[in-house]
Amino acid sequence: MDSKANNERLDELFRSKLETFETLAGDRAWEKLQKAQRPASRFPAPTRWIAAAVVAGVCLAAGFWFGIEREEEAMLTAADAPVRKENTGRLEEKEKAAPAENGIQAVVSEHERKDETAQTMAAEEKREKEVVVSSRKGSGAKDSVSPPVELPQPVPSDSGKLNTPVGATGEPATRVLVVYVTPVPLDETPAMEKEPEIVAQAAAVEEAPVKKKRGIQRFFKQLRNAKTGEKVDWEELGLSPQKTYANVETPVGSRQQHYQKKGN
Amino acid sequence: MGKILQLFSHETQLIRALRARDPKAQRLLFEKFSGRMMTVCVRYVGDRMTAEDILVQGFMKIFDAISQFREEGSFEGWMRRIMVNEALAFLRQQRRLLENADLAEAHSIPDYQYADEHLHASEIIRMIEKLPLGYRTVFNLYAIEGFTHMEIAKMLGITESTSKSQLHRARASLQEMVAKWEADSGNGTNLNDSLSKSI
Repeated sequence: MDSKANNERLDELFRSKLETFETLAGDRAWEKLQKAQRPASRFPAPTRWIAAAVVAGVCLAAGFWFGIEREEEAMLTAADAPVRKENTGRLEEKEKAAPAENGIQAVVSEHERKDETAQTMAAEEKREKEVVVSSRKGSGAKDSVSPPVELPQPVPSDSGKLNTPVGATGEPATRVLVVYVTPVPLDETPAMEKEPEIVAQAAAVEEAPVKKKRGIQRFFKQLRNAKTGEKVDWEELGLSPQKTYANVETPVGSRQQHYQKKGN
Repeated sequence: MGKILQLFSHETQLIRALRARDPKAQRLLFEKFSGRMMTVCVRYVGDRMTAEDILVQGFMKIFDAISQFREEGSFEGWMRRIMVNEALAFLRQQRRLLENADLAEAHSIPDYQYADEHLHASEIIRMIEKLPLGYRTVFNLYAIEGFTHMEIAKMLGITESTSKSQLHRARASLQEMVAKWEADSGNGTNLNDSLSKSI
């Protein structure tokens, strides 16, 4: 019985002493626990950051690129607008037939310019004909729609008759009509041929609100200009070389003035 | 830390937060119980570095298995049981559970009253660490955790008689150590008495 009691006392001693005893765990125990809880990543942290940065950079570059392309499209569309109005019917047919690509659009516009030239030439011919008609009918002809054009005065012949052939004898022989054509520049073409509608359209195009470009887009545009050898518009970038030089010089002068004042 | 303690003033709230895998609750649980659980691990393993690894493993298991706690018994007891199982699993892996050593029978009976008053827990831990692994494990399981010999036999894969004999030898060894401690600490009279009694 003594040994049993002795054992119980020993057990009690150890149990009571250890019940509330705390052994300090190492400082790294919690860190170890956190590391063990976290699933191991396939890539180390720096690699992940680099990958994220590369993806972001590619997205930004793509965004700028598409932004510039859209801008170019918008500019081309704005430039084509009056021509379209001029040749409405034919251009619509062309647009239906051809895909809306920049290169093809450029070709179409060239064709339109040729058409325009042809039309101008046709108008000149028409005017010449009208001049002939007016000369036949006399200066007071009112059926012509075209505004009066100053015609060269007929050269009076010795006989005092208008353009009467030298060998004319009053018989109904062949008449020779001499037409004095004064070359008129395209700008001085009659108002009817200019088609005022187009003028109005052009004005509308000029007044159309130009989309304000973003700073980086403007920068890229000027960069592209510099690359292609075109003129770089510093004002668009918000930089003025003259101003910059002026700014550089300004503090020097002001400082000198400041020192001078101080010296006085 | 104080703020976290305010958040989980009751154990039920803490357990609920642990079930929701709240990192603050996990930190609080670790801060609150890591010391006691570390003591459990050191008692079984005897090596602080290894005990720390077992502590980490044990807490991971606690966080994962918190939903299985039914709130019928003591939460600390449930955690302690997990730590003990982890320590035993480690010892089983090491195949050191059946290590045995023939120790001499105890001849001296210490003065438990004096030891109770003056013997520090850290010295008790050191005494347990000195025990051979088999003795230590059975003593821990029987005397401190309160398992029966049948349970210990099942847990360690040994017979009940082996468990009993190992416990007997562990006790004898510890008595010798406590008696020696008393002699070294200056309680000579009691030690002499106990020695004369044993003779």
